[in-house]
Amino acid sequence: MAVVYQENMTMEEKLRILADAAKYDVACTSSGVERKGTGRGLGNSIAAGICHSFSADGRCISLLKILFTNECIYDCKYCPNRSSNDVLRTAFTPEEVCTLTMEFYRRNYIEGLFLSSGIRRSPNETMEQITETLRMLREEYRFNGYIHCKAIPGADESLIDAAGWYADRMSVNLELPTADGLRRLAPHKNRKNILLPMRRIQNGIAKSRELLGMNGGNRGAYWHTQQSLEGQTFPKERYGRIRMSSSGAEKGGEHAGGVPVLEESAGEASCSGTFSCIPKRQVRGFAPAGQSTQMIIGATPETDFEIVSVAEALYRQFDLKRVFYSAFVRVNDDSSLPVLPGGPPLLREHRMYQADWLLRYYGFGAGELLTEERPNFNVLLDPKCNWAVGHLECFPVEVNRADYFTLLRVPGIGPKSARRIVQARRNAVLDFGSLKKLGVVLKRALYFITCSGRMMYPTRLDESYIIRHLLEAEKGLPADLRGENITCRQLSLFDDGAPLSGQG
Amino acid sequence: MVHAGMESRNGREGRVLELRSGQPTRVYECENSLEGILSGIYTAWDARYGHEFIRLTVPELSGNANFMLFCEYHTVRPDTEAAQKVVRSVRNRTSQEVLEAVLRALYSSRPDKADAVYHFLPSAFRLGARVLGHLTDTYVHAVFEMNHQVSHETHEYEGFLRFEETEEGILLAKLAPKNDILELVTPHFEDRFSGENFIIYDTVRKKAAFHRAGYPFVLRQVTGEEMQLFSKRSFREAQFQNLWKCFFGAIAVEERKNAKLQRNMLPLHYRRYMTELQD
Repeated sequence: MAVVYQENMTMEEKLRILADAAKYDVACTSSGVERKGTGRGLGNSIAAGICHSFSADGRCISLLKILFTNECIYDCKYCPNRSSNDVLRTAFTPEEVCTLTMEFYRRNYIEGLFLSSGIRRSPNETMEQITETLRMLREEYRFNGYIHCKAIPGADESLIDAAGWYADRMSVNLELPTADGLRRLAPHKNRKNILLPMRRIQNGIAKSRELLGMNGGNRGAYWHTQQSLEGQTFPKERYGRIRMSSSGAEKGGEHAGGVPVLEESAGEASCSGTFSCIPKRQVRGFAPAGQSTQMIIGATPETDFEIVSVAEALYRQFDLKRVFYSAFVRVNDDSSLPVLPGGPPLLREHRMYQADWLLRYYGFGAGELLTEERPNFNVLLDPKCNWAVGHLECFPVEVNRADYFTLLRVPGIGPKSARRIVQARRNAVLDFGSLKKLGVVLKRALYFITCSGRMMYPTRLDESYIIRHLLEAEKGLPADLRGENITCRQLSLFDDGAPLSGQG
Repeated sequence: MVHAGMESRNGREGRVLELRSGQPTRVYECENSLEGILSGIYTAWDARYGHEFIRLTVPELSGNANFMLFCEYHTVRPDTEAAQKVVRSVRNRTSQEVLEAVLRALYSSRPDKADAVYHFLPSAFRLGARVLGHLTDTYVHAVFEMNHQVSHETHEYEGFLRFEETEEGILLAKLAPKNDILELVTPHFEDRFSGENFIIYDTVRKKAAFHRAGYPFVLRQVTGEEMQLFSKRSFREAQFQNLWKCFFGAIAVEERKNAKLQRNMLPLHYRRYMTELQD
């Protein structure tokens, strides 16, 4: 093991190394918590989150995303900081992190700090360093902006509790979708050690909600969507599958439709009794912006169905705010890692984010989007179009009558335009012209809707007919896809959501 | 002054005038400010001339290019009292939310903003707080869109604005927004940097927001020479700018490079004063 450790490095060198080492972490959201300035310290927080810049890869920069140290005792095969790699190692001091955060924040470069770390000597020592840095930043530097920090698997629960009262968001990386993948590529980590702190954080958030009400933290979009779905009276035969499909996941240990979801039961990960170290006169909640996680896509052979089912189970069982997906980048030359000649699987990652949106905001279940017989997404069609052409019995939908959740299932109609439709039709009968004004993407929606009983054009409700026309509408896409490699350039052709902007 | 304002006419304004076809269109020219346009709206409304024969323009934005024939032109001088009356009636007869949408729309750079807001009001008074959902109406849609654009640009600048520390320790930011959002973006920084002295300078409209630590901010017109006073940077400034540029470079993943996506998310016009995107 070659550890080149240098003590006397300039700040710039350290920052370059420790930002570079943190860049594969996906989450850069600064959303989920609204907090006014204190009048004494520096900073506030905006619920919608704020992007401060966009790097050359088009990803949002909102937080100062750094590792505390890139030293690591673990040897995860995919990680640039693994112990067997011969890279320059360094570490910040808590003061350095605080100074950087404060000075960057004052200049409005960032929304706050995202602090992660390699494992230096032990999980406990690493978590202590993170917590101490957060404490210093909040109490001594009086920083009132956004903080996202990692919970280190294997660290004592009391340390995680302490960090949670300083952080706005916490995350534990799932690393890989299944325990099997984890065993293969991250031999020093195990699934249970990852789920334990996740459960601990969930309990902390629940506790803080109990103590502080909404200031203690809001629930995730998935939960809200499920709540409003409950309140709806839906034609059961059409939407009944939503809850059925994932009922297996509810029990934690069992398999949803044969897919091993979170096999090392999260149920075991119950937390020991009382919550330690609730600071006195606490006004900031425990991770009030909630919890997130991320997993690598394409390093291990899981199907899309498995990945989406895992995400669904995480939302359901752990009340996560977000699950992030990270297309596998082959930074290490290791025989256990796949060689991907087309580069990172960016299109697949994009499809995962689209599906993730469908779970959280649209009320789709994983089992509706994919099945074991058809376990992967169509490269050509986004998951929603793909679902729609497979369920033509649900269409056409009459926009002047259909309820909100029915409208949501129409390709080309999203939460915003569905809401606008419901509002606008109170005062007027909607036609296709007005739908355009409301932000409906007609080139996709026109096959699936009627306005006052009429379709926009005489189209056929036929699977292959619709697919052919949908593909033609995505200008340039079929031509590009005819070539062998799907380049990242195509990502921007899809306009559903903004998966890379990272705004939660 | 006779109290013939919009407040006294609850709900009848649509019927006040019988149609007089053939009468010339009246154009009210407003000053490009909240007060100026609201005064224009008040004056035009108070004339009881029939909404369909009324146009409002903002010459500063539309220029003199589109003078119309057979029109009467009236120039409206800003009048605080008149403007406040309009604000009051909109708030009372719709909601705070609708009022805010209207006011934000008036920060837009669209030349038809005054006209759109004027013709939006009959629907607003008819539908009350629900009016913003009535998007099939042309004027409601225009106000909705302007509100959206102004809010969006304000939000973008909350992230994209860059401060530099001057020799005196003042934080100075420059921006060149499409819409006149200086007044809308400053409260965000007033809350966030309440303990800092800062200046936000709109280089297009030559005005600036001045914030002294612990006090409310002040807006005023400035000249280029005045702003020259703040041209010296603190000795640490270059150091932190370099650190930031270094971070900006290091955080990008080479294998995912995507200039088009970057340009979609961060259009070029925002980059003018952004530290990490200079040279």
